[in-house]
Amino acid sequence: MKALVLTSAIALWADWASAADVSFDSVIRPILSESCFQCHGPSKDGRRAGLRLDQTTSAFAIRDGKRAIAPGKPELSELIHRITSTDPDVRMPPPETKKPPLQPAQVAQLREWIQQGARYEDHWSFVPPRGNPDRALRRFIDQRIREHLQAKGLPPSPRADQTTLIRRLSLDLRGLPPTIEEIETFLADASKNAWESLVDRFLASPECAERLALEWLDVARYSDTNGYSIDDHRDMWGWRDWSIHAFLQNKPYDDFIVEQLAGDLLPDATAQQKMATGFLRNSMNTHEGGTIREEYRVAYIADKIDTVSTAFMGLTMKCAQCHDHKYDPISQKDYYRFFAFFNNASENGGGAQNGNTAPVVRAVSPLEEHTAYGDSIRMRIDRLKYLQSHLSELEPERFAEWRAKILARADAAPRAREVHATTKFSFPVGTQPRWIWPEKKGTIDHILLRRSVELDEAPLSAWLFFTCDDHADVYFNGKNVGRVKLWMKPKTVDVTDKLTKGVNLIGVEARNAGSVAGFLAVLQIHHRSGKVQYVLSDPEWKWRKPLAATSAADALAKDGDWQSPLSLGTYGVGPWGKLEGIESSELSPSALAEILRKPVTQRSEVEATQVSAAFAAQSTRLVQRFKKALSIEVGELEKRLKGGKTSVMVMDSAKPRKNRILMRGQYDQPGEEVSAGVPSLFQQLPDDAPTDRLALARWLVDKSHPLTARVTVNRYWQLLFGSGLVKTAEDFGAQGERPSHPELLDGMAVAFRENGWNLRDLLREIVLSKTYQQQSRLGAELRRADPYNRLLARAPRQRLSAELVRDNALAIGGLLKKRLGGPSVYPPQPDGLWRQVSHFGYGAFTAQAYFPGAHEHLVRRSMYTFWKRTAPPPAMAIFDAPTRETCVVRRLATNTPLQALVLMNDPQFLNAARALGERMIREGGSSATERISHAFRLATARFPRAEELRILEAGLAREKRRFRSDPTAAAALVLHRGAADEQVDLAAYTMTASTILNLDETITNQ
Amino acid sequence: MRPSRISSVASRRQFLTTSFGTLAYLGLPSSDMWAAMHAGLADFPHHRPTAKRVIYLFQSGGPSHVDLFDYKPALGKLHGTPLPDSVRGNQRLTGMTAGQKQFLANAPIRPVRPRGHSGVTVGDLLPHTAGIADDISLVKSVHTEAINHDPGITFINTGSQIPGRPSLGAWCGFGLGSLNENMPAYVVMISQGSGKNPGQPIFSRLWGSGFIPSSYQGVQLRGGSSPILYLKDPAGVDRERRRKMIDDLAALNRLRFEETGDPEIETRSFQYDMAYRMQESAPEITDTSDEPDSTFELYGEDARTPGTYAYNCLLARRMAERDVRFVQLFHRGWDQHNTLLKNLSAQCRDTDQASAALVVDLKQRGLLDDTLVIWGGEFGRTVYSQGRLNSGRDHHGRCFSMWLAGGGVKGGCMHGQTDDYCYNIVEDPVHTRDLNATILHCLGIDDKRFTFKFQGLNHSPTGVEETHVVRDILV
Repeated sequence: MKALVLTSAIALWADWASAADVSFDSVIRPILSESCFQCHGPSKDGRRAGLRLDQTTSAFAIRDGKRAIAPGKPELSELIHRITSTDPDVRMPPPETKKPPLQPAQVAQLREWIQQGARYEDHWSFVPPRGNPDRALRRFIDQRIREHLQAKGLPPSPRADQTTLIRRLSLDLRGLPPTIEEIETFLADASKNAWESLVDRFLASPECAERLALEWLDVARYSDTNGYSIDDHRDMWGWRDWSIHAFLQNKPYDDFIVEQLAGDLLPDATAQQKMATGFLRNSMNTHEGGTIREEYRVAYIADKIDTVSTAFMGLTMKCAQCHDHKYDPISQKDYYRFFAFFNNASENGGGAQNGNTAPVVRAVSPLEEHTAYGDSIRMRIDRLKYLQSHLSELEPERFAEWRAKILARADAAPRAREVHATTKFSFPVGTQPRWIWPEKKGTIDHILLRRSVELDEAPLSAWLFFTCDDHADVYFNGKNVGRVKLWMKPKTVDVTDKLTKGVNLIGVEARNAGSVAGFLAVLQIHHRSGKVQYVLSDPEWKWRKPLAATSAADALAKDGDWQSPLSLGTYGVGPWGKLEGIESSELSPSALAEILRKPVTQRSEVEATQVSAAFAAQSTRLVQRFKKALSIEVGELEKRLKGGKTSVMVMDSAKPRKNRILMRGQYDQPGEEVSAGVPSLFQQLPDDAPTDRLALARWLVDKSHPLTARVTVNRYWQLLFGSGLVKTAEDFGAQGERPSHPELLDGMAVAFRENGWNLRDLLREIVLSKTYQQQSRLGAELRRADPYNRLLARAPRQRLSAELVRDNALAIGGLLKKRLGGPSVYPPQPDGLWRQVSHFGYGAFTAQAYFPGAHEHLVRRSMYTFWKRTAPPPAMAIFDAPTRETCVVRRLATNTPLQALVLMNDPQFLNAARALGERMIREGGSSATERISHAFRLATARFPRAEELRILEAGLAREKRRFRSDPTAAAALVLHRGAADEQVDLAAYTMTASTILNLDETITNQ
Repeated sequence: MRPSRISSVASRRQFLTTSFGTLAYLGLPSSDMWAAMHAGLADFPHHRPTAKRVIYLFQSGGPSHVDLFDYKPALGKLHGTPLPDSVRGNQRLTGMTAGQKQFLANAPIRPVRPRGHSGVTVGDLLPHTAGIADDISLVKSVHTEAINHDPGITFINTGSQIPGRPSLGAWCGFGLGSLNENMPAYVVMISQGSGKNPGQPIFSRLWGSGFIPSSYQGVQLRGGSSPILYLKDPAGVDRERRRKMIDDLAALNRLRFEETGDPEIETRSFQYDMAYRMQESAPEITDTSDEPDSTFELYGEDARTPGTYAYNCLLARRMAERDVRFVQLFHRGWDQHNTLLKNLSAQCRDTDQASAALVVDLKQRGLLDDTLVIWGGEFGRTVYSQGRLNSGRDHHGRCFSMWLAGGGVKGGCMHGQTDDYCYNIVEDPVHTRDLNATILHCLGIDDKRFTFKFQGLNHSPTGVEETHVVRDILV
């Protein structure tokens, strides 16, 4: 068995040559699976001729005098006849399947296997791993890797130098570069266990917990939004913090699994154990209008099954949702038995608006001491409130246009003012305007109202607040000053310019189309003496019916039959109640212009708010929408702030439901009723315990389980080596790739499990291996012999993952703010990306427009960036981050021009370059050489070589020269910071810093 | 994954695959390197293509086939009468009208008529589209299972209602590669109509790469001087400065390459060159100042304003001229549950002239022959009124209309028949996956032979169900 497995692994790399034993599991099954199982495999759906080739009973049976497979007799096997036939009616696979004919080498292998007796074997990954390593795991790793290398005649690579190693380890375990102090300490440490103690230090660091959690977020499809349709926010960061905390505590991995699947079912479950089940609730959900809830409740469960089976078992169970699995022995019935584990939660198919959908738990983050939840939320609220009063920052171009317009208008009509005008209408306590009308009930539905006001001089400012049931126009001295259309939307008008010295006539044309009607007004006059006068609506006013064929403005000025109106009650009386808009912050144009003329920094908070309000009211619809969106976000945050706890969506078992197979996976086509259980190919759950999620979780981590430990160690191998021993980390089934080193995988899985599922120990042993510490240099011979580095004759060179590309730039520039956990944050991103795709402007939904944060929120690690599934952070997506809509255990790496654009031009990376430039000047020493070396070390851990230094120095000199002759460009690049001569210097260093941040080596772990 | 296929390209061209989908330089001039990187898959196309490129005018929200295309003279008489149960059958209704007491047939709010020599039917609300009736194939029998926006729009664009699959444009770039050295193979542009603002949300997954490498995801093009994200150099960095920096980078990276032997490094330097060229070519596409006034007479004055549908149509033509493989517009706002006449008219006004202009323009430039243009949304609308008569219409996936033009598609052709109520298909059903198979067919791709192995399954762009190319509409 041992020899066989080894052969099969090597067969991956060798052309088929000799007639050694042909393994069913490693050679034959993959061929049959790819070419035959679709119609002759485990699935009864679409099976042709009743033939199965995945098991002997059917394959060896005699049908019409023929046997598909006649052991020992390839010439009598119908299978060989069919796959070699040139007759399209006979040939397998038939042309209509669009599968290509088998290749000659595959035919030869099948022939040989039948000749050797057609021995079937179980699929490798369904047989429990065996063989606890007989030595320290690190040595076991090296032994197995070297055996395979020897078989190919390849030597391992020498150990990498210390500088490379500390950077590699730091990036792998912490996702951050080592600091120069760390490098120097390590280089100076001559002790035998220098590496080991470095490993231990890094493994225990909070950054390592973050790094491991980051990897888990893809698997767990963690997100800050609901995912479908409107995609508003949800609060799952508490669960994210739970996972960071678990890694920080080095929680045994079996507990890590059990709590996430069934923490709520543990005896005396704590709030945090319940919180762990948020893992299952990370599924997307919807509240799109018109959704049929049951359809989506089923979809959420299907997503849980996909996640659990992929993440822990490397199984593609979702293939069995609509029919039996085509390749692996998982029936549709198995699928719906699995479904039953999740089918009794009270989670429904709808989704709550703006936040979490029940069931939820309210709890404190396990990282509360680091996160300071309240502070973080308050910081966000402050930022949003700041934006509310500085809407100009969201639309700078429009603001500039609008400002110019206001100033031009004010200049065209200059006003002499010795004192500042009052810029606000206010409604003083005790001021009691009255609702007035000619009658309490009746038919008078169209009237004129008036009164006069005598002034000694023109007022400093004057404001009119008024409303009318139904609507009214108001005239000052014959000029219309405004109209109210709906009584619930009163108006505040600046009437400063409308009042003059002497007698002023205030007139109203009011209409009504209902039963009760009324008019209400307050005129507030600020006199130059400082006195404030109020003119209120009351029975002192006079009314009359309008005159036919005379305009209201004219009729108001005419004498005649003016009568006193009735008072229907003071302000606040029913049916009108208190009205909106009493706190108006509208400014007179001249007052507004005065504020706008001041530099931004000299405006008071009140003035800033007034400018913002005026901008929103008078500018575009976009700005009004911003204003509304900001208030929605602030409102939601203030709600969340109450109680000091965050909410996390969790699992419960509140609703027992009949659990049926759904025909073709359709929610509205229930079939046979089935009870909860695990797929029949595995050892079943014990009879004497409840079959619930807890039983499922414990079964996954049971000794007998063939997959969980293997899948887990494979994922961590992938984290460190770029590729798993099973390359298809998401598929350990018949269609997945076989392990390159089966015994190594099994040995590690057993050792991991037997060592109490101790993840830190596992990682420790891997990085202590010689295999991990090899050089990554790739010679021509090796490139030919093992282009994908599956044999690990060298260490991999891998581009950093999306989040780490940014984290590194921030760290190298000295900008990174280290803080564990907490609500997600909003670093800058290009304007408009969310608005363009979202429901921005409609309804009251959160997360429809992106409002960049401030201060430390701009420079936290990328794993804390607010994740919107329908529009993920663009720089992350460009560097291959998945959308987090579904479970992903392996990212593919690409190398594209858009990545170059991000590194060169994304303001965040530019900012890091500027910071690094400053850092070079500040702490790099006095010469250009020293400063460049400093930056180079921060980025790559090593000193630049002479040739590298020459290129960078020449570049710096060139940029200095060019910026000196174009100081405007220098000032622009450094955002006008510092004195003019400093700007040239800093700009040149910024370019050098940017070059260093763009180096392939800077974004590569080698 | 299909490493075997990729490496066959590699060995043939003496290239080496490193990061997936990227072939690294091993001593060949950069034009050959480009060719190798953008060649598409080895055995593509499967057959002789009739279209080299696609312009997909996606109308998000569900345009009303009843009011715009599906000509039913009898419907006038049925206006205001209850929709017979026999017609409605057991159709799934959305939660928005499922509780409605009666379902009254609502005739088109503006007449639909036969047009041109061919008699292809187009509504009065689309006068310009009526003018290209003889150039298009109108498919009146498209159908989908989805009844709501998110699943519907995800389905037609990715082949599955559940997120996670690559979009059609991503598949095309992956299979066929790019034709333009300086632009992405798949470009997406978004606009918002005035018939419902904001329209239903859309999602980056609609142009995403799902489980194929992310380099194939659609690249969003925006108006203005930085049409691609991060395209514009920061203030203070001119072209020469950028060029010099990229040259320095290349020199430094080359030293690293010599040290490590990792071909991925050379690929990266190459991508910086590509980025530099893209910085020049992309703004050329979006700068329409070289267009004569006649262009704006054709597309409408809106085409002068970046971000409008008309502007995007004009850009689509400019990209077709530069051989961008797959251009997709997403125009939002076709979701007229209420205020039907006003809002549908507004949507039509925003889009009609430019959609037709694009076809006319491509034709006069000789580009229509090998450019496939597609117009349509994720579903249609109910013949019955939502709420009061003439008020609005709910979602309808059982049948709806889309049109195609150019790229091997017949002009003046109609395909598929619905019943008197535009409610059920009575002849030649075309599932959205059949439509996608047809689009791929025009590009020379057999959808079922085009697979990518992920999680053990050979995924095709159209899923596991059978598909039928709509041969009737093909030349």
